[in-house]
Amino acid sequence: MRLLKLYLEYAKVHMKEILEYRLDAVIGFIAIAFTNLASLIFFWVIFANIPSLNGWTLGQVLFIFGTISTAFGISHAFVPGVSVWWVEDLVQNGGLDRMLLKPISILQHLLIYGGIDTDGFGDLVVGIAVLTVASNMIGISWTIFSLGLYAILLVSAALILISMHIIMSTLCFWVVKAHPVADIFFALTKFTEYPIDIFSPVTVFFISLIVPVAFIGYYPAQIFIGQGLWLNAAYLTPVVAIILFFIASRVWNFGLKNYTSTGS
Amino acid sequence: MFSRYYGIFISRIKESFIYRFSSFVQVIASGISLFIIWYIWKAIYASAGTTSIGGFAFPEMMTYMTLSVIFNMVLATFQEHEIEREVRSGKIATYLIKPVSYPLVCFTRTIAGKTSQIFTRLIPLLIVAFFIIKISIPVSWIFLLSLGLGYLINYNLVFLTGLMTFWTKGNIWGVRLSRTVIVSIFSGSLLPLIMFPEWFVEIANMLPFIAMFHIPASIYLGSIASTDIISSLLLQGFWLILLTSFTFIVWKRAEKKMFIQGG
Repeated sequence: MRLLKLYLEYAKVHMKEILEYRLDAVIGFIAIAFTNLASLIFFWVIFANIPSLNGWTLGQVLFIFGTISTAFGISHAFVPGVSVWWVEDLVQNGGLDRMLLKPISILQHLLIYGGIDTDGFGDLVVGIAVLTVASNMIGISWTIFSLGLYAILLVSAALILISMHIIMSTLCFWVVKAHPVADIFFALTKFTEYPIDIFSPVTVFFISLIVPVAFIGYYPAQIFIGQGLWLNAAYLTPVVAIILFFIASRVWNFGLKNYTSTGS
Repeated sequence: MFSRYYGIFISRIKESFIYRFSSFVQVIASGISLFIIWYIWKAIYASAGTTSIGGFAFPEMMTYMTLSVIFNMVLATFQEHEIEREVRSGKIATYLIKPVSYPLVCFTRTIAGKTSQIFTRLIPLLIVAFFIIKISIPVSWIFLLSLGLGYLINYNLVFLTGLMTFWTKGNIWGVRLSRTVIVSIFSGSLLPLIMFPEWFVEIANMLPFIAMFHIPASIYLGSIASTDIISSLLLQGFWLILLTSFTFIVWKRAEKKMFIQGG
């Protein structure tokens, strides 16, 4: 409750900041929306050349893509504080030392102090638009129950992303410039933009259980599409999210114990 | 006069080796991208039911897409952010009082960065490309000249993005990201332009972006007839001259603005 109150306080401050720098916010929003556009154009052109991709139609592939974009949007828009860029910055300019003095755990603080980041709405808006179009294309009939389930899966997918950000951020305690590791993270999330049955079984195993990026898009989406490798895996999404978050906070605490300030 | 820039060049190369972690990670990320690209195109060709898409057989398409990853690595720079920082912090003034040209300083820095990346990024990537993906060797080595022209054209856009800091508080990060997306779509690096509808190709042909990937890649693959190579290079030269002149004008204005602001 106290965390929620603090979060809203931070969000208010950030909203004021955004209003101050409106152009920045608009450019950030457009830039993130644009990155989605490239993927959408890719699918659009590919499906003009082939009827289906390994048995998946354009609508179905778009539904998977929309799921990822929306999950990205939720984590980026509402929990922007834990990202390897921010934490790197905090370590470098000593902001983390100041946070150590606050009567709140650093991880909790990072989770809430980002407030709301309008850049994330670039993903969120495009994601929801794509989902709407895609579910019309494949003719998904939504019920209150299925919408509720989908919302839970989306939030779980966002939690997986947040957990991965926490694990990456932990690197900042050892490596001064850790942010390039995000390139690997973004490369890995590309796996889940496509129906994963196009990959080899070893790859499917890797992205399902070792680095569970398949739970960001493919698994949560396939149960609504009604086609895929293992439909019931969708229900595991919240479980995977909680386990990963638990591991991430353990990793983070381990890193924090080893943290020695840069002294600047 | 060149010795001044030589000093900047050498010190930047030394500096760049500090970021070994970054290079290592970049190579892995590119490797993962290539891995995904390979599987996706394999699935696309299996689903197409034909052996050729847009005139490309699967091995040719893999060469094309791998070139896209490699050329993008060659073009990529964060110079616009360095310019942004130097303009905001006022550090740019320290260059203006020295007998050097600031645009040339920035250019020297990116070239130095690229030179160090030959060993840390390019060669590992080429090994993957030729020995694991087994891309074809270039049909015409003139592609190197064409890629060089493409690099300079791209650099103009990078420098202009950095100069935006003089006029707007706007976030250069967002402008840079939007620019790279536009470049990837219109340059043919996202997908071969031949796969796009005709109206789209017509628009792309009127923009400078094809000079940054489509032309050098087509020369590499031999899909531009050898008689047309000259006209393609001339087109690149045209864009380069046009954009460089524009950059020069913008830079002069920026300089003036600095004097008005008093640095």
